[in-house]
Amino acid sequence: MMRTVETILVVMLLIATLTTSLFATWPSLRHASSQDLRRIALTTLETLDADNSLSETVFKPSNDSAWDDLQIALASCLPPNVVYNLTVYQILNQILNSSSTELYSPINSISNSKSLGESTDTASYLVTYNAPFNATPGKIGGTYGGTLYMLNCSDASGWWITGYTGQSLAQDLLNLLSQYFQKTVVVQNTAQLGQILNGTALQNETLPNAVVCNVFGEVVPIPQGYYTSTNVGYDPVNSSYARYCYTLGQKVRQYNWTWVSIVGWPLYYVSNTAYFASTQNTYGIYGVNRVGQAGRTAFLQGLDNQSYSYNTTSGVGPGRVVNLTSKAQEYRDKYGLFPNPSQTASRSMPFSVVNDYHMTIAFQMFDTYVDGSSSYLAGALLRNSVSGSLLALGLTRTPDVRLTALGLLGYYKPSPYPIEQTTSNSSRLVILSVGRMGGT
Amino acid sequence: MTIDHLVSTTILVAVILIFVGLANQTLQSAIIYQRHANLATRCSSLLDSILLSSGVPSYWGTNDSAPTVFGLQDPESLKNELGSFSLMRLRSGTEPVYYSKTGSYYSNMTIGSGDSLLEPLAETVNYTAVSELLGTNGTYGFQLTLTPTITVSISMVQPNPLKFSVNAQGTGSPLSNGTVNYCLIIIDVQGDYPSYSLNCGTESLDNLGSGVLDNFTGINGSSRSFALLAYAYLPGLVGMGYYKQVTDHENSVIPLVFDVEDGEVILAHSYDIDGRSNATALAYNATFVSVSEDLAFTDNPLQNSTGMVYSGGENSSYGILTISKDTSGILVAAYKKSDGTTGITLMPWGIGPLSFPISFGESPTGKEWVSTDMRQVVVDNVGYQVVLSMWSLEGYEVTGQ
Repeated sequence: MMRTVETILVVMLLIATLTTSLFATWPSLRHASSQDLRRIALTTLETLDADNSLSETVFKPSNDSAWDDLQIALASCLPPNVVYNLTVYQILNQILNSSSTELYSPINSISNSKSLGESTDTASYLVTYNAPFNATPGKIGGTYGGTLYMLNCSDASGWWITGYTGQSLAQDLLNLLSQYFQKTVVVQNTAQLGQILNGTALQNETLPNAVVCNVFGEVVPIPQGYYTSTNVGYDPVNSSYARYCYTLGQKVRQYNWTWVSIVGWPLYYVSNTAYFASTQNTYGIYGVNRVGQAGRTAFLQGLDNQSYSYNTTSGVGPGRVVNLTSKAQEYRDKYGLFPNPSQTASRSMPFSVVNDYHMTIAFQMFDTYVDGSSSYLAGALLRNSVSGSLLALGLTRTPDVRLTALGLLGYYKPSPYPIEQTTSNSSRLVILSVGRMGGT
Repeated sequence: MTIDHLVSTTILVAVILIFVGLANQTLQSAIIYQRHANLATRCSSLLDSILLSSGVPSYWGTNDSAPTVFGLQDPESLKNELGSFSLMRLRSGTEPVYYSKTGSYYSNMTIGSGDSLLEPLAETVNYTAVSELLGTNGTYGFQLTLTPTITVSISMVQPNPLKFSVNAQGTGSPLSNGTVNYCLIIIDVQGDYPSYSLNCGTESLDNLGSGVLDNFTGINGSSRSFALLAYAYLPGLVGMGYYKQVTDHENSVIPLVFDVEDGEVILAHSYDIDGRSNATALAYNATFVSVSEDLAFTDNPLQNSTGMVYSGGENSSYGILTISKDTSGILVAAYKKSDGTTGITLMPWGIGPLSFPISFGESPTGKEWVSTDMRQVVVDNVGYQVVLSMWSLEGYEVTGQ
């Protein structure tokens, strides 16, 4: 009986011993005291970025030699028994706007081994760099317009733009404004002007709600044919092309355009160097026909959908030095346009046009001034209560196109900063995985 | 019956003993594993504590005060850059040097070329004090070593015209296709005091990290003293090395830091320190060479840069220079004897400019279990690897493995 009990005890002890031996295996003492690979990886990345070299390299194209230098530097500073894999990720920012669930996209990777050995750890390092980003400012118009028509008609002449040509002013204004518009269309001649007046886009642009910029000063280009025809462009009773100005006002209303007159008395002349080849503006400039005071009035009549009436009674205010309004100065700073805040106005519109043609002052460039019993607007963007606008700067020559740009930007208020800028263009994530070679 | 019983009981007792022994061994391994894992964790944590804090006061490296909290991070950096002057104040483990004219002992950091950084013991921070500040006194021992990541070796190929070969090796691979910015400081014996001139340039390294510096047309290095300083680099990684030749092999000018806070350095005669014979007065001309972030060398003339040092005699027989205490660089002292032999001595002001290695603390040799951890750091643009070796003072042993 005793032997049976002892045998059972021995068997139990043997089983316990075998079981303990089988399962109670401990990691090697080497593992108990392994180096902190994660910290080594992180300090390695910090070292490589001490002079911003890493930050600069990860923004370079993957075939740039800087990546080779990075690999050599990495291999040089890590111990020889350490293998590594360095991967750079681009941070994607469109995750909220797309169905993609990917937040990081790998753009380059360097490594000295296919695998990372028996123990591995990883450090991540976010680098930012003053990389050039897409500095696209906010656009005027969005989905409902945003076209800038620049009248650069080669067959028209300007007036009150002394020292400049319409073409040179067009180029200057394009440089200032085109970045803010969805599309910029340069109207090369009066025939193309006729096309857009007819409602035909020139380059598949959105025609309604556009801005039409007339850089010919007091002259407006006129297309031959339909727009010089009787009762469309020509008033036979008064032998005046004021009728064209009226038609122009109607078109501005029809397409909800913003018509821009950069200097002087708007629509005082019409010009077509071919059609008016033998006509001069009474000052010796051929190709230009004088409309006179009736032109602006006729335009406003058309803009307000009033009946055409040849009217030469509306004049301009006396010459004065006028100052930018505080609002205009605010936008001057915002958009980095710095014309002289004091200007000389010699073609100011009577304030009465606001009421006479159902206009509102959408953006006032200069303070109004009073002469006698009348007030005058030296520069303002007037918006008709129904449709269409007029930006008229009644200043003396020579023109400063920065004021025109300021008037438009102050009215449309596009964001001057890149609204789509995010971390994707300025930050990248660097992952360094390191592992030790060798057995256990 | 009785015999059977005795045999079976004996077998039972034997098996029980074997089982207890085996279980004991397993448990012992487990306990040791835990202790070692704990030691490794403490080692990593302590290393981070040292490297990620500049200590209190944060600028303790550049003044005479002792730190009340120990840390080596550059107080003007948030990254893994260490303060060059804090490192300079760590007391070396080698035998201190005594200078009779000041009556002081100096902590002695010396590297292979014979150049040294000697700092008054009173201004250094010793191992015991640091151990107490770190809270390891009596429980853990440690050694902190800083080794340059890139080793730049220079040898002279020919003396006339001077030509050098340079090689840069990282810890893992050569510094392939790197660039070397170098500066040759060559001594001229003319005049009452030796003069010096700087010849600086840039050269590329090949795939093996080697290159030849031979842009010294017209410079004859035979029988002349000179020092060649060279920074080898790739974007993000910098190493430093230098080569020196002197014609006076008996005497030299030895710089001793007199006061860190005031930036004062003594130029002593070597006879007063090493006691070698044939002590002759030395005329010196010193300057301070700083290195910018883009590794360009700049000569910064010093006030009272020329003078004489004598062996023995009065206390005033040494020179005193004042250098900018906040700017690291290299103090260059050219000297000559009356027989026309010359020499040049270099002393780093800060640790990085001459890429001095540092070893601080007890030696881990003979300790039963030493845990080590490593970090990459930057000191004065130069890449270093910091290794902390740490062991327990509680006396447990490693058995069973």
